[in-house]
Amino acid sequence: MENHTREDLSKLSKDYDLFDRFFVYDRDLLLNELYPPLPVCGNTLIWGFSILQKAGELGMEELITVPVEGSPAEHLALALNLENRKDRFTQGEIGRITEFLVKRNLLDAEEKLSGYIFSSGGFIKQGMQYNSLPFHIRKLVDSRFCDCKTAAGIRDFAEDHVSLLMKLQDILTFAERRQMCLILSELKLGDKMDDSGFSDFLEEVAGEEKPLTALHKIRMPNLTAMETAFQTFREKRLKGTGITLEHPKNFEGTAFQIRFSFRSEKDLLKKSRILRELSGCTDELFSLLF
Amino acid sequence: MNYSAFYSDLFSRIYASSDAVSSSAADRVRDLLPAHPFTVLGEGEEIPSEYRTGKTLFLTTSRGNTVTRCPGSKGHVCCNYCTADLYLGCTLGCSYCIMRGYLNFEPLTVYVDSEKSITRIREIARENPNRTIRVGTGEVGDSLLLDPLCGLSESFITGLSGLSNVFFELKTKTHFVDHLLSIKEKGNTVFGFSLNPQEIINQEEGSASSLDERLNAADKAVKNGYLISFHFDPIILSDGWQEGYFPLIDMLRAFPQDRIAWISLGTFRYPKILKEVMDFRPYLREEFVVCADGKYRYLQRVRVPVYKEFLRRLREFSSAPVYMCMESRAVWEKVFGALPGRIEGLRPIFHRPKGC
Repeated sequence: MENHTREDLSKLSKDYDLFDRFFVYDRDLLLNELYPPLPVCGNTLIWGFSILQKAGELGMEELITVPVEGSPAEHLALALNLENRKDRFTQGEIGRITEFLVKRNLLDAEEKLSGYIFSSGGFIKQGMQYNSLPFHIRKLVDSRFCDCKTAAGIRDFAEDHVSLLMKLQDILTFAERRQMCLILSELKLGDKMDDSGFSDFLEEVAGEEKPLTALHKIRMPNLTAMETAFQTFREKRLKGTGITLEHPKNFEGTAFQIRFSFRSEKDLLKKSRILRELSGCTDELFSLLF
Repeated sequence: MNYSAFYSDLFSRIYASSDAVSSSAADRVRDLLPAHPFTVLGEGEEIPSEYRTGKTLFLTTSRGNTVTRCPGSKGHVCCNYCTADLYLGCTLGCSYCIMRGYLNFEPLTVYVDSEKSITRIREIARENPNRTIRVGTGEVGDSLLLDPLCGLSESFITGLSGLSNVFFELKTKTHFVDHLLSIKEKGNTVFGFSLNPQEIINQEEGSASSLDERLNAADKAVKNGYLISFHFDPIILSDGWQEGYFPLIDMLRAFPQDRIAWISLGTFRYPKILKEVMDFRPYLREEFVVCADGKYRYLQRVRVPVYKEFLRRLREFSSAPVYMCMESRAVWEKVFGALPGRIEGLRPIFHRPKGC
């Protein structure tokens, strides 16, 4: 073990400064020197950048270090091990780790390093996908608005589109946001909307009380019209009768379903009369199927 | 066509499992592609990961049952087609290819031990003497794309030619029929051509043959005594789809209708997983709903009139059996007025053979 001044440590190479700073040691632990010694190899700090930052905030002059040897891949493994956050690394961190390996032509170290990052599976593909995103799209992933794959689907969205989308972060669930991104990309590409027109469109959708429902109606105009026609039919013919009418899911099928209960002969006769009247206008219903 | 140049460009290297290396298909591949690296894999050896790409051809032998019934689609009417899987994968690159969603082993795999499948088909034919057995090699690969290279179809054609109840179909988006035209014992071999308007072929069917090439190949097949079939599948709808498909339907008037074994119709459909792996295509902008089998299809109200129109136009000049692929009972009843089991002309080809 050695002691390094904070100032000296600050001057060391930051090649391994790959992790977000949300894992910070407690003040008392640091002041009582109850933290892992910071590994240093030559003029490179391998791990402990968050400790270094916190030490600065606490006015600590010196930090405990330990000299280490090894290859860059071994150093990265050590840093990941000390970070000890398997399955909790952010996409941004995975992107930076991947970039670190790409720059040093160390992609074959994936197998050895994966175990520190994920319980199972590799991370390079994900990191590459993140790194291929434009910076303003990465924001959506960093803020957990959506996953990397979904973000890749909307990579051509402009910055102001992203800002408009971010307004919906607290209104929609993660799954809803994902669905929204998918529909938006289909609408933008399919309808060939220009950036300005798409911004207006997004603004309009974001202003809706239920943005995803509104968007779904725009994406599926025929299905929406069929649903509306069905609801109108039901309201007009059966409202308050105690008879329920259902269409087959997604209007796929040949049959509608009617359900009712009756409490007396009189009640049954009344419902039969309503059904007889209904049977005269079923063309309207079946036109929704075929 | 210079097949050697074509396949040289298609593949950059060849691997063969030790049990496939002495096959006639492997000999043909070596003859046609003498300059290509040819590696024999020993027991337990695998293709190195860097060569697990679509540019690698893998010759091997099949495991387990080589002739199976088409899996069909839950809740949908199945045509009980039997498949002999000779090829796994395809290099044509159609944007809608369902295999993009299912296959994760990229080298194009050829199962060279075709005798095993032929023997099994013969057994099934004997077990079902009064039933029509439709069997094809185009389920998870194109039947003819690699045939000039591997030469596997000839043994099927001749090997099954004596079986009057077997209709062996080679389903393709290519025009690679020339090497099979002079076979004498053709039996009920059917050359099946997948059809789409040229505009859709240009945009969505990668390096597949042009419409003219396919129709010319169909013409050659008929003139040389083969049966043919046509598959309007997938029918891709967009504004003005009629302008693309109606003239195409009319082109089939040029063929002797009694040589058309069947015509199938299938509107574009996809499992969720396919959409996740495919790039956005304009036709995906249409409205699709999830159906009983989990696949997405155009609205039933959209599909039914499309099928009806295809059927009406085909019936103007053809009495060939026409059927729909992976459609619901509801759609069958509305388009044909009945399920295939009750339709004269379809009943025999929809019968499920025993043992398949």
